[in-house]
Amino acid sequence: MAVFSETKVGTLFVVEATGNPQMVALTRTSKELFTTFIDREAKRQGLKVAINASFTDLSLWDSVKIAFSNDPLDPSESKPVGEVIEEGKQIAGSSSSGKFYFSQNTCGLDRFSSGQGDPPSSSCGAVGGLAPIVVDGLPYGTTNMYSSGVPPGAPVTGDVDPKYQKYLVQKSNAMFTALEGRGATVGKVAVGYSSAKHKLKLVIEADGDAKGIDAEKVRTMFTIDSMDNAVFMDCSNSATLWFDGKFEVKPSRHKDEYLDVAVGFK
Amino acid sequence: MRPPSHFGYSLPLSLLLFCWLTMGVNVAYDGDIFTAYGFPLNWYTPSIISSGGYEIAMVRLIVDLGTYWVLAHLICKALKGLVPTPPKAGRIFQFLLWLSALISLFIGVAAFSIDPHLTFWKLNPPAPHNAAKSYFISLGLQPQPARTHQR
Repeated sequence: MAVFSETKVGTLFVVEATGNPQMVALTRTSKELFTTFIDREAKRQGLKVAINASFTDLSLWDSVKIAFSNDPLDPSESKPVGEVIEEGKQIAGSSSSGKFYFSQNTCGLDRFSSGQGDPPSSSCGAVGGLAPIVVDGLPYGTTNMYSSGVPPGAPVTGDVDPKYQKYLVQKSNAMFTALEGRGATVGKVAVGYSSAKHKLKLVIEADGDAKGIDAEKVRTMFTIDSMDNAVFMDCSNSATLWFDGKFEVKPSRHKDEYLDVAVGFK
Repeated sequence: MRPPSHFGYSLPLSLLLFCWLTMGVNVAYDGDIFTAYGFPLNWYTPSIISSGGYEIAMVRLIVDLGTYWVLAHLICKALKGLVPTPPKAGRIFQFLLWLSALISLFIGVAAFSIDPHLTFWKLNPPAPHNAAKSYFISLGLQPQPARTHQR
């Protein structure tokens, strides 16, 4: 049985789990607040922790509806970005092959992976459309970084030609750069896994936290803990953390009315 | 001193055009496509880190608004002599122009309000120099929602 611990590092919430944690993807299916949905489903499924996950797109008219009304949107009016998979079935979302996924590949095995593209369709639990932090041991950041001996002309950002690939020690990523550009105060939700330590780690910062940390420091929190796969979920004022029956971080009122996807662990 | 009468048309016309017609640029890199909008400068982009969010560069927005006003002013000035308008019809047309411009602006501001991030000049993330860009005309009420592209 998995053992969970929650600590506060400064103003950040850090949740760690060892002992075979199981991932569950949750999608809102009725017209209710995101937090109401998480609270109910997490309790029903015996989860210990749940966080917001994939991005959710809205049409212009639904954005306006959200801006003016206090009612949650019907889930049919919002559209999760990236595939959401539960027990080998896609339960929501659409293909988002340019972005990244986080997946528990086999039910019952505490092996979590991440990568670019859609999650494996046979995943036990997975969400796509995410931003990378570390993928198979390769850290992501605002620039490409290379080991010594790299031939001249290697790009500082963006796509890397195959001839430079073997020198690559850090890959640039637009989503990571955008999050780093928003600085320390923007809300962040990240999850990572260390295959060496068999440990799952979640880092959550509430939006607007003046004592928060930037994306690069979040990455450091994962890399110093030997996390070989880690991703950012939907950030800013979408950040949500439910732990052991109560919310530590809640999304903004607008986001609470239309976010659809969460992941939980038990 | 009273401003020339075509100002009554050019101001709402510039707002209306600003709200409905712009240029978009798709930039492809890192296996994904990122889009920014604005003419002549890109002044907003759907956020790639937050659902429903937008990055808005304020100075670029002001430059674009100014450009639209100049263009609308020139259009009105050119049409003034060509289209004879009875005073009553002119006032009704002016009222409708203002009404549609203000409604469009109101809807746009509401859509931006879910999670806006204002910057002075820069839109984040900056595109790499080696990234492929394609430009297109965006006709429709702004802001355009984030589109999930893939290469």
